[in-house]
Amino acid sequence: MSELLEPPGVISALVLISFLLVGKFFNFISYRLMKERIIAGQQWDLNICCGKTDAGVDWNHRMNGNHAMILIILAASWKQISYNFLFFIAGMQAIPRSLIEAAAMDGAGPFRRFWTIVFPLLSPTTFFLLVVNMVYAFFDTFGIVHAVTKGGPSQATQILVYKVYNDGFIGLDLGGSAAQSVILMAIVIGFTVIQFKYIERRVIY
Amino acid sequence: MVEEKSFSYYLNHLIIIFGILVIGFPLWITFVAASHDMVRMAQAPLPLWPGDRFFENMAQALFQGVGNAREQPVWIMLFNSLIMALSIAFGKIVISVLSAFAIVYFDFRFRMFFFWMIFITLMLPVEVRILPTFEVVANLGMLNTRLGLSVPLIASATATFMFRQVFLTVPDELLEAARMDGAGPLRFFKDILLPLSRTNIAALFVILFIYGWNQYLWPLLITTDKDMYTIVMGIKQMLEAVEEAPEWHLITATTLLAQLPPVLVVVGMQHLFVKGLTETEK
Repeated sequence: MSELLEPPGVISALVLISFLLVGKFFNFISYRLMKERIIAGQQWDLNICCGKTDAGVDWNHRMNGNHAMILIILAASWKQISYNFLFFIAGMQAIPRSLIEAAAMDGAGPFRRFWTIVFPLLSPTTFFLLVVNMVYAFFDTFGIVHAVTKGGPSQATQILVYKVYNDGFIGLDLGGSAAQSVILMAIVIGFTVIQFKYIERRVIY
Repeated sequence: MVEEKSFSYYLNHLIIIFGILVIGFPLWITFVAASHDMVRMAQAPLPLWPGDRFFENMAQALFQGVGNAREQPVWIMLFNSLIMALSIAFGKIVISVLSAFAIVYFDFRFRMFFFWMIFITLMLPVEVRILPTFEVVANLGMLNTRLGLSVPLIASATATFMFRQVFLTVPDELLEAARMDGAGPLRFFKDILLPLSRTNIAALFVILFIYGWNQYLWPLLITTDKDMYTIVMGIKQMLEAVEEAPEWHLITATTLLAQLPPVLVVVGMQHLFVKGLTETEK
């Protein structure tokens, strides 16, 4: 961990920059931009995501539900990288340096130090982030879905929050939408219980 | 550590550089797109190096507007977003600090009842109560107002719990000492509790400001008037230009502008923010 933190300038700049990215716009704008390109059948310089790729995949997320889902997942995970990074940094800084030094003295290499000391000590952070990321995936991906695919193609990316919104405010099926809200609430309650049951409890070293 | 600068040392840097590339590439594309003109952005392949129209695009987006919302300059949306984010952040902090203060330091009737009432709201984010909240706000006549944008989002159980945790770590001796010196509850709150939780308030402010700034679903529901558009949903409206191709050079310029206020808040409060997240003892 400490090696990772050696160039302080670079790291603090990275933390800063990464936290700035918390905005939703960037990813959906740039992904949408890339997407438009793909639809137009235009070849894109880096050959990352267009037309027929080298592997022979015919990429088309406007017709193919799996491709649309992959696009949403990529965009949504990209957005969470910085958030997770920040918490891991904070968690790692809280680990006493003496522990790692002791392990180094005993001859443990960097990988071994990570897997036997840093990673176990980070487990509360990891678990917290797991729950937070799941909540994020349930609720905050609405923006990306709404901006990029509108739940399509043929409802392949219709997540629950989007469906509640779509049925209620576009389809004007208020009752159905409200009923789905109740299901959503059950899920939220589930997450809250997990959060309070396990996160509040510190992992014992 | 004990090793020489070895293979793993370079591997670390390789991984960091790779991470920066993954994070930075979409950003770079956005910046590059903001610096070209319309014609270039409609051509294939997509440019990977910046053009020379960055400041013209910025100025045009800021003062003239983009796409369907053409008559709406971006600075109005930025202003709306700023008002919304600030009132959400301040509102949440004021309400949470006061309610946590009441719950921790006062022994009043139904204390636990109110505590659990606050707890229950933790399970009711806006997404769950879309319809009823919309109904209430509509009946109050707050559709298309700045008040309607922020008020339904102000109540926050999370912040209340956070301040409760902070207050619980404040030693009782401080309270006793304040009492001995003849300080009333409000004086104790103002002179002892608030200064002690300064860094927590700052950290929370940063998080809540960004939360408010990034609100998407709620503004989408209650604003139909262009004067009330917030920047995040305004960008979405720009993409919806049906009769014409989206003006990518202006839209990307707008996203850069939209990112500026959160950047300023984070940069300005970074020191306090990191402290508030990491330090635990009083």
